Amino acid sequence: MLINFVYIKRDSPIHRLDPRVKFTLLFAYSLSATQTSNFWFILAGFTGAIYYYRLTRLKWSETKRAWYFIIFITFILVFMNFFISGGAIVQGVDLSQPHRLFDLPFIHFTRAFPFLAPTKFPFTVESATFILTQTMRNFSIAFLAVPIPFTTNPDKFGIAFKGMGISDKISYAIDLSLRFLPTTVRDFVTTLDAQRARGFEIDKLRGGIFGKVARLAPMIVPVVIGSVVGAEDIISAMELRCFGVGKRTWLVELHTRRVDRVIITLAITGFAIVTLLNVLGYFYTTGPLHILHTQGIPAFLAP
Amino acid sequence: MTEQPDKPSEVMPDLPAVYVDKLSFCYRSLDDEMRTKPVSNAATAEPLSQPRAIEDISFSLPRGKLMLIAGPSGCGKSTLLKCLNGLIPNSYKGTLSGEIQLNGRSIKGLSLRDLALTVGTMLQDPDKQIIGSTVEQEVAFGMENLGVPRKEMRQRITDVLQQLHLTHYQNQATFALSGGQRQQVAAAGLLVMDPSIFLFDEPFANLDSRAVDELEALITRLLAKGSTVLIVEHRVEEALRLKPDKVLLMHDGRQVFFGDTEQFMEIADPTQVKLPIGATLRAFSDSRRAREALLQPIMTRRKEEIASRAPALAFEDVHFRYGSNAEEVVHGITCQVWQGETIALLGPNGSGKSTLVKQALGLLRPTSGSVRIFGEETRSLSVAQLASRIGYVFQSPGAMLFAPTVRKELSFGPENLRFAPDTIKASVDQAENALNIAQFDKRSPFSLSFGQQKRVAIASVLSMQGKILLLDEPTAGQDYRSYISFMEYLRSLPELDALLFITHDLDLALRFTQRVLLLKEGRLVGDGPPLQVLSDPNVLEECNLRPTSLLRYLLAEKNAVA
Amino acid sequence: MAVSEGREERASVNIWGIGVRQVVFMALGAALYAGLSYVTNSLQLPGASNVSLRPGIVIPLFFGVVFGPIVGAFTGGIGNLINDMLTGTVYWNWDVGNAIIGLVAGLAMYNTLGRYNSTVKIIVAEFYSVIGILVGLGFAAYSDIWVSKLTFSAATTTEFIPASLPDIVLGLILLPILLGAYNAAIARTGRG
Repeated sequence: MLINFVYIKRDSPIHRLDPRVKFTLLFAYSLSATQTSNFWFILAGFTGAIYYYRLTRLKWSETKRAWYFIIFITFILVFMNFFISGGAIVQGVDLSQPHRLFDLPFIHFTRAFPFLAPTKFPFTVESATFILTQTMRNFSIAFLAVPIPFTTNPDKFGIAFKGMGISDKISYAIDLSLRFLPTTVRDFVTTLDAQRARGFEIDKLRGGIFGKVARLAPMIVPVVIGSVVGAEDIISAMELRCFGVGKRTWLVELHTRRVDRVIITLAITGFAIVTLLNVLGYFYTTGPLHILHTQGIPAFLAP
Repeated sequence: MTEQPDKPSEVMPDLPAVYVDKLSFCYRSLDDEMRTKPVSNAATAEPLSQPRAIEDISFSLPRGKLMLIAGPSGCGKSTLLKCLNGLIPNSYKGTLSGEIQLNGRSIKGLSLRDLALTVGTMLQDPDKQIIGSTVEQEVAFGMENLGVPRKEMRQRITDVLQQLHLTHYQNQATFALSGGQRQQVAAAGLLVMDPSIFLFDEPFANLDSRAVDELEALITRLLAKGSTVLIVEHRVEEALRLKPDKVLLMHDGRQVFFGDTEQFMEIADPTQVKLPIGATLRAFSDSRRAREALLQPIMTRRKEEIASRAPALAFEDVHFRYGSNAEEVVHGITCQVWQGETIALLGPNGSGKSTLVKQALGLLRPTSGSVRIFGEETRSLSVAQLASRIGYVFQSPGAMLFAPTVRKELSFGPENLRFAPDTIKASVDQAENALNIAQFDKRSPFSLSFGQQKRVAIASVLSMQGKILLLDEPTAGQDYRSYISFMEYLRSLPELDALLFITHDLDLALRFTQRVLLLKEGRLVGDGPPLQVLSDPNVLEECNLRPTSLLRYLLAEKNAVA
Repeated sequence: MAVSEGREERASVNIWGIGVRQVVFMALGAALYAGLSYVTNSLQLPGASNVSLRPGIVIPLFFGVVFGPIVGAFTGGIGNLINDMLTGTVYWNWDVGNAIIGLVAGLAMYNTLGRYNSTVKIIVAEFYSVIGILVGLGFAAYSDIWVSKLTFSAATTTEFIPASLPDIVLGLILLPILLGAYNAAIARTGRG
């Protein structure tokens, strides 16, 4: 089995970005989005994230596996959340007058036998808006997260972390992990073959859950112990070539351009403004400064 | 070179490059271990493989010369190497006494950083030596650590890659390189630091013959440049082809011999280290007896025992490709393995040897054609079902050993195959006795030496009672003495119908097998008795096999008779 | 397997120190974690309905309890990030959660100094591992209350329990097996 990163070598504005910019954008946006459930705010973020994603020139055929996973997870989260919480809407939303659209038949727990009874589950304008907002929030974060693996060469990882102020040694350890990864995967595959040749069938593990888990040991133990014991030689190899004696230089370099600095500045400023607005929202109970604390129900849904 | 300290190589040329006087070393933590814990393995017959301390080593080597440090595994040669490159005492602690001077300067108190500019060390396993993900990152690694500015690094990388004709590979992933290429890249990573002394730790392990040629060329080039080279190697025959100026022979941590190569050949013991055939022959009174002693093919079944007429294993026009769009890697191989045979499957790396035998095990399935075991089509059998008929021991025992005790390790296969408890006990006992590992029964396989682990690995396949046994590179990683005794264990394995070795060791094929199958680029290009198949020098050259001195001697003898 | 000698263990006193040893084990741990996840993802391990078994979880636990909290945290966090790079999307709060698992497991070093030659020490390792999984996956799951706007009960039932329960079972069973094997292996190298 060959290890394949999903990285796709291509020239796009996002490929050209400094990897630190991509990480900063993801963090700044997700941390901003945590602070509000305002439909319009999230819609703006969603639109921006789609634009950003379009710039990557990634094709559906390349990314579909990741997207299937994201769609599945988002679906589960949004709907499970809706039903488990009984349609509750999280965070400071004006729920004084819910606008009920229709009722869903549902079941709820009761104290008496058979402990389950039918009930009505109100579906409101507010909960519809919330579900929409929540879906857009998850997808907008995904639109910023997916480009990181697909447009960043893993070779640049170590130096990117170094550039974010992480120490030489830890940053280098990231590069080194990527060097070990294909060897590790090869070893796991070899071990699995070796054990299959001894009648081991990983798809037909016997026993209960505990027995099954214990029967995974033949594929894990040889590789882990082998690498740990073999690490002594790697340590020697690194010491003999002076690793860790002082400040090191890096052959790989990041080309930070003005656009990178501008985006980072904008992202951090945006995050600061959102945070300020969020804090102010606690003091002003109405008006524009309270906006992040409202749901901002769009007109077409408004009753 | 802005940040490097003064280079110690600019010293008077008449001083020896390496001067060692009364050097002794003893690992501290190991001693503590012995004192605090009276080790529980005192009961076992075979000693644990422990790193050797060294005692009273003295030699000197002039600049530009080549020296071989020889001796069996565990003789202390690796410890000596660590003293020379500074890992002792910088990284491993213990009691060190005596004197080491490199280029006339004592290395006492020098840090690894200072020493790295004088000594370059090539470790045994290029997989461990190579730190960079790409060729240029690997070459840059040492310079990065010394803080060399990026511009200068680029220049020096370009220079050294040109020197070694590796420019073409500059941006390639190191993982995808062949064994020989990896060694060259590792060498580039050392050369770029411009040391004047090079240490090679068992460089001939894991290399096929083309890679050995490249390595020889590299060492010759280093010597021509005036560098000093020390090789630690137990494969003395291979190392002697480089014509070392001096040889140091070690045994049990002590120096047994130091002197010129010619003298060494007179005193060396051919049962301890692998020597060219000439030296071995001296031990015998006449050539016929030598021949009998050396060539003893393993017989799995005597003729009169063979009941069935069907071949034990038959490949019928086997083709294979990994996936429908991939290139075909096995192009129609047909051959039979008969009961009683011992066969060497030879061929260069990537010739399809492992791919072919994996078809027999069901780990891979032929794209077209079929594999039969005792007449039975394997396509309808699962890997587990095949495992009870044919055993495959992977090259590295580390790939399969996992159980808490040797006994549990051996029971793993039979349990998977759902043998009855009595049968499990009987077959495990039998396998333990066959490979003489009953004494380790309760020990963890991880606590055993490499050779012992190898025997456990074979026993744990034998316990499944397959009648055909395939061994991948059975001799890799073992020194000559343990290799020979290991092969003797195989000779006495009970109840086998056929034994196959996948190897690129020609001497193994000549000495222990009756038949050779030669593979090249997924095709069978030779099939017959070893001497017959291996007699054509062109075929050997094409298949990347280097004639050994034993083969040359046997061929010369054969021609003389004819 | 190479026989290795009694190399000085400089960091055995300071469990937070980072030397060449730690760098190599960090990198190995992360590669093993990502590699094992990659291999098992493609294997379709048997598991209860929608919850897939994640045997890889034992890697950050093992590297944490044996080599300390920094190595554990790196193994978990970077290993998971590399796995993200292989699957195509980054869930950063889960990367942080995995780092916490290794970090907390690594605190077992305070009691054991990374040696597991007695049952008591192995139980200590198991204890810290369970706490690590609870805290780490707790962080990841409950941070989704903010990031994805889940309710507490939704985060608990859809994320926290399905993620942590199998991990605890896997960790509790596989960790002692690995520690036992590791013990035997280092006894041979003379560092036991």
